[in-house]
Amino acid sequence: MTRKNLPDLFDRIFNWSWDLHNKSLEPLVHIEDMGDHLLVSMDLPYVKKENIEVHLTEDILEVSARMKRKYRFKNLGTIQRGIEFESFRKVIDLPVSVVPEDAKSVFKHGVLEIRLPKKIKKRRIIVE
Amino acid sequence: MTKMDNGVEIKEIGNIPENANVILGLPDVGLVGTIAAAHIIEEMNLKEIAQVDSRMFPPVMVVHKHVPKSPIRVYGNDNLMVIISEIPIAPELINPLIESIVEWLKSKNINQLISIGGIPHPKRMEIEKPKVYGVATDENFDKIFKKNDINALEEGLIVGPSGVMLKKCMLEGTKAMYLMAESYYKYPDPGAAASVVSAINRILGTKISVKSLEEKEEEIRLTARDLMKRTEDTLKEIQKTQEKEIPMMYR
Repeated sequence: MTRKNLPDLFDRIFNWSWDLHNKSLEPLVHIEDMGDHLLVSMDLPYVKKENIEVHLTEDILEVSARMKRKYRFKNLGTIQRGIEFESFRKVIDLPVSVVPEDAKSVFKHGVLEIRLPKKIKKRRIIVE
Repeated sequence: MTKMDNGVEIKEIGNIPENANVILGLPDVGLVGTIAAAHIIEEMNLKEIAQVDSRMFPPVMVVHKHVPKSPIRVYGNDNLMVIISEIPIAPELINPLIESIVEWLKSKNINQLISIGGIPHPKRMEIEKPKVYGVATDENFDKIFKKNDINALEEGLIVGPSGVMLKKCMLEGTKAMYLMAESYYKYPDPGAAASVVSAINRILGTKISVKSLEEKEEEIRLTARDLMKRTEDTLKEIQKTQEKEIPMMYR
């Protein structure tokens, strides 16, 4: 084990899904390649539509969402029980470049869905 | 203690009922089975009656109310048993675990085994009340499905513990069915769990309320997220997405 490997090892062991400093949780995320666009969805319980902020560049998607009330994991282990969370936050390095101006999103039943058209368009080739 | 040839041990710590109906709720798509099984245990106030263990399991013990426990446990009363897991079942454990459970249940002369879970629906966001689909080892179950508003799964692939369970039960001659509610693939889905519990009520004649499941939906989604993340890796390994494929059937 070299010193260089250590950060990776710690990341694997302590794969925390929360940020104590910002009192934020990392939401569950699903990214699907739909051919001409990426479909990104996130599970955001305790969130209202008006409290979601989505920022997008060609390569990075950033979503933050304030919960309608602070949440404490009362049924969890002794350590986690004392922690209170008030938001979700996730920054995603997109696997391909997208067109931010044409992106669309919808929020329903606590799930945010964002449709991101890919920057590179397909070119039709004539079959001879 | 019942020790199977494959190294899985089932330690009985309470009264194991005979001729019981058994519900199997393991982590899978949308954690539907786990959420529904945990809800049934709580609503029916079932007691812990057995623990499942094996040297092949990951080195994990869970602690509840100061007591260390195996993450895979059996709860029950006089006529119902519920098997639940708090860890995803790794691909190499699926066969030995399920085969052991089915053999043990057969030795207890159970009435039937019902595995519960989810079936991913690409437009789950649009669905208010998820439908329930079913598949069973006995063709007479078709009538039960019709009578109880369950859609019989006509064609498809079943990947994971429930598929192994159906196969083993068929070989052993044990009555079994698998009930799946339309659900999210990678998000905990208490709404789908409520649909499955309602289907269980219709089939078994139980009156398990789903009210708290609906009221606590957001809280459940939040507390189940870490288990969902770990389960997602397992789903990838067992190629769960095969269930979305159209099977080439030879009739």
